[in-house]
This record gives sequence, structure tokens and C-alpha cells, in this order.
Amino acid sequence: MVELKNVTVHYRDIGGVDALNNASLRIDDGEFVFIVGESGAGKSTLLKLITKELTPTSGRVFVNGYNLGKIKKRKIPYFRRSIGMIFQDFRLIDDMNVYDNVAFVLRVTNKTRRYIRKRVLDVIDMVKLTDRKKAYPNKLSGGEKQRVAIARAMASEPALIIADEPTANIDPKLSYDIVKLLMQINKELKTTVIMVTHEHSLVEYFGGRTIRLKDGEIIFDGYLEGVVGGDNSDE
Amino acid sequence: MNNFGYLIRQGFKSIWHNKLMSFACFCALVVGLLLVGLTTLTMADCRIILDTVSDQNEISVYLENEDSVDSVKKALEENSLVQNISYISPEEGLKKMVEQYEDQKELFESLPYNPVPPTFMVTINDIEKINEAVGQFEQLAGVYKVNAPMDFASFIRELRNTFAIVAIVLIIALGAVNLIIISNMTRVSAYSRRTELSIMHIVGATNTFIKIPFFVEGMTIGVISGGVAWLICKVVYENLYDLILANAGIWISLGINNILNFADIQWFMLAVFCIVGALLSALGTVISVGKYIKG
Repeated sequence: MVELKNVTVHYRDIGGVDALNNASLRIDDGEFVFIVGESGAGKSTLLKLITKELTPTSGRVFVNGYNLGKIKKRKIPYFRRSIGMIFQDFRLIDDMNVYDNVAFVLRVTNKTRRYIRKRVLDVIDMVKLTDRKKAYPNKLSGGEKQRVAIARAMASEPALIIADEPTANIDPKLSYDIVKLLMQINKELKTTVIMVTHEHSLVEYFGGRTIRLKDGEIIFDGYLEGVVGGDNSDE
Repeated sequence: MNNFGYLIRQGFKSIWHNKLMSFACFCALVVGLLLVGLTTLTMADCRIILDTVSDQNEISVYLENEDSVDSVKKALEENSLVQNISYISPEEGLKKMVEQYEDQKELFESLPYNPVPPTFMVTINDIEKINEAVGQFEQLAGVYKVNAPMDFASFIRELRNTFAIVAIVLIIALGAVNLIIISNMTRVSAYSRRTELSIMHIVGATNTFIKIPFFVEGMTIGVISGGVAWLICKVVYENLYDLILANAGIWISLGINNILNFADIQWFMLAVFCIVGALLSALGTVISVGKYIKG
């Protein structure tokens, strides 16, 4: 569960702008939520608050049972293990193949070798990249790279996946496949997914719970019908 | 820790992966350690030379007459400040004086009596305590006068202090320069791996986990640099040492025949070079990587 209560983030160093102004929201376990808004609307700030990369000026943030205002610094890495991150620039390590890129997350979190082998093969299979597991990022297409990133985000079985503009750098046609994959993960594994995007066409197509930000304020939080039914379900 | 072996391997792999940066880091460390090593050896030798020179100073203790020779000798022998005593009788003293002023020896021949008093030439353990020694000798019964090279002593004292300060400042400055160079190089290395670091950070790697491969990388480069710097230092120093021994006569007359023999301290030096190299490198690494994983 993600909950923000009256959160304000004030950036003094960039002219006293309120990146987020008295925002409150609640995302329950197992939900799929789109967060949309123009550039500078506060989407990145919201994500940074959820991942504890940023501390709010005022208000409270709760994520996966952690009160981020009270979490001890040494506990932050353990909190972050409950979140899977997907970035628009993929952030794959160039000198590691698909298998190692995914395994990297589990090694970092100190899992056993046997567990890593099994889990990595499972998630690679889930994103349909089994035959590409030995390929290096420079040999993958944009869509494949993002699927590796999704596999990596899923590897540690997080309660929450945050996808920050995951379709921004891939072919528009493949964007739909990526969102479908995320929805499939949400539906089958009951993983909460928060997807930030500025592509209205995707939101209009898939529908479902959508939070719209503008100038640091939540101007809309509700359900859109969407072309495929509005329940964020697979086509 | 399940992946300790993995982390160590990553550290070693990283050296090869960033080979250009590793080599630059290695070169900077070798030069830095070599400078620190040679400076330390030079300063240690200077100190030995100063000690040798200061050991050669002699205090002249003149007696009133020969009756007190035994009592003064006993008192000097029992004095803890005294290192060596040699007695010069009035006859020997006059003979030396005649030899010294040979062209004017008729002056001495015409003397009605021997004016040279019985004398003890005394060297002391520590030139810093010359004032104290002179004070004690003057108190002895039968002593007529004490002559001591006070100016020389204070000159040696000042020189020794100056050397100590110069040595400390040089070693600290070179150490700091090394640390800055290593820290900057590791920062560049960390920058080139920023994607890896940011992923580690966001997926919940602890700071210790993130730092270990960098630490291993830094320590390894540090130890290798220490070994190479030691080898160069050994070759340079031993050649200089051989040069000095080949011309020992000149040096001995200057009182410089006691300088450090590298063979006597080589294993100690190797350990110091490797440890300092590893520590400097590891410290530089931890400082610069720490800046990437804040928050």
C-alpha cells in the first residue's frame, strides 16, 4: 500500500517552487495506477517520495508498511527491496548479459546462488526472453531491453513495481505490449503497479485508475473507461 | 554473506574492466609512494648523520692539577650523561700543541713550565643535554674549567628540529596529495559505473555491499603499487648506498658512514609500502564512492 497524507515538497533551490502541494492519495495493494501529467507537474517528485530518495517538506508518506518519515537510514536499503523500479532509459549494465542483469538485483540483495538461478530463469521466461538470456544489451531492441528491465524489477518479488515512463524510449507499437506485460504481472502476481506516463493515448486505451497531476496538485483521481474496458485488464 | 565471493570477484574484474583507470591509479600511487619512501629514507639518513656528527663533539674538562685525576675520572665514569672519556696528560697535551703549531715550536720550547693542564676529553650521550653535563662537570672538585661546543650543540639541535619538521610536513603533504589523486581517480571510475551504482542503490543494496568491490579494487591496486614502488625504491637506494660505500673515505671523513642499509629494513619497508598503498587506495575509494551513494 502507498499512502501520502497532505504531502508538500518545496524546492528552495529552484526559486521556491512547490513541486507537490498538499497532496494526499492512497493506492491499495494489488492496484494498477497510471500517473499522468505534463513535464514539471510533480510526477518525478512523487516517485522520489515513494522510493525515499526525497523527504517531504511536510506531510507523511507510508509505503509497503514503512513510515518513510520515521525509517532509519540503515533500513532504507531493506525498504527499497520491496519495490521494483523500471526506468525509461532501461538502466541495464552494458557488460552484463540478460541473465546477469536480472541476477544482479538478487546478488545485491544477498540471495543464495541456487535461488538466483531458479528465480532469474523464471522471470526471464515470464517476459519471454529465454532464448535471449545470453544476449548483451547492445544486441537487444528497445522493447527487449525494457522487458529485461521488467524482469529485473520482478526478480526480487516486490510488493510494488514503479514504472517511470517505461514506454518513452520504445517504438509506440511496442509500448502497448509493455503495458500489457505490466498489467499481466499485476493481475497474476497481485503486485501493485504504479506507472508514470505522459502518453495519453496509452491511458485512454487501457483506462483504469488514473491520477492526474498539474503544477504539483492532484487534479484528478478516478477511473477511466478505456478502449479495452477500463478495468486495467488485459485486452 | 552469500555473495562475498561474488563481490571479491567483481572487485578483481573491475580492475581489468577499467584497466586504463586502474593503470593511471597505479602509476599515481607508485610515484606518490616512491616519493614518500625516498623522502622518509633520506630524512632517516639525515637524522643518522646528525647523530653521528653530534656524537663527535667533545667537552674539554680541565683539571687544576694531576692530584685530582683519579677522583674526577671516577666521577665522570659514574655520570649517566657521559659516553666516552679519554685522558690527556699535560705532557701529551703539550706535545699535541707543539705538533699543531709546528712553525712556532720555539715558543713552546722557551716556556719555563708546562702550561697545559691535565684534561679529560668527554663525549656525552645526548647533545641536547650538553648544558646539564657542563653544569655537572663544573661542580666536580678539582675541575678548573670546562669548555664545551655550545654553539655547535645548538646548531645541531636546530638542524635536527628543522629536519624533523620538514620530514613530517613533506610526508603529510605527499600523503595528502596521494589521497586526493586516488580519490579523484576513483571518482572518475565510480562515475563511469554510475548506472551500476544507481541500480544497486535503488534495488536496496546496502552501502557496505556497494563499497566492497571498489574497496577490493582499491586495495589490490594499492598493494601492487606498494610492491612496485618498494622495488624501485630498493634499486635507487641500493645504488646510492653502493656509491657511498665505493667512496667511503670521503664520506667517513664527513661522518656519514652509518646510513641505513636497505637490506636491513627491506621487509619492513615492503610491508609499510603495501599497507600504506592499500590504505590510501581503499580510503580514497571509500570517500569517492560514498559521494555516489548518499541518500
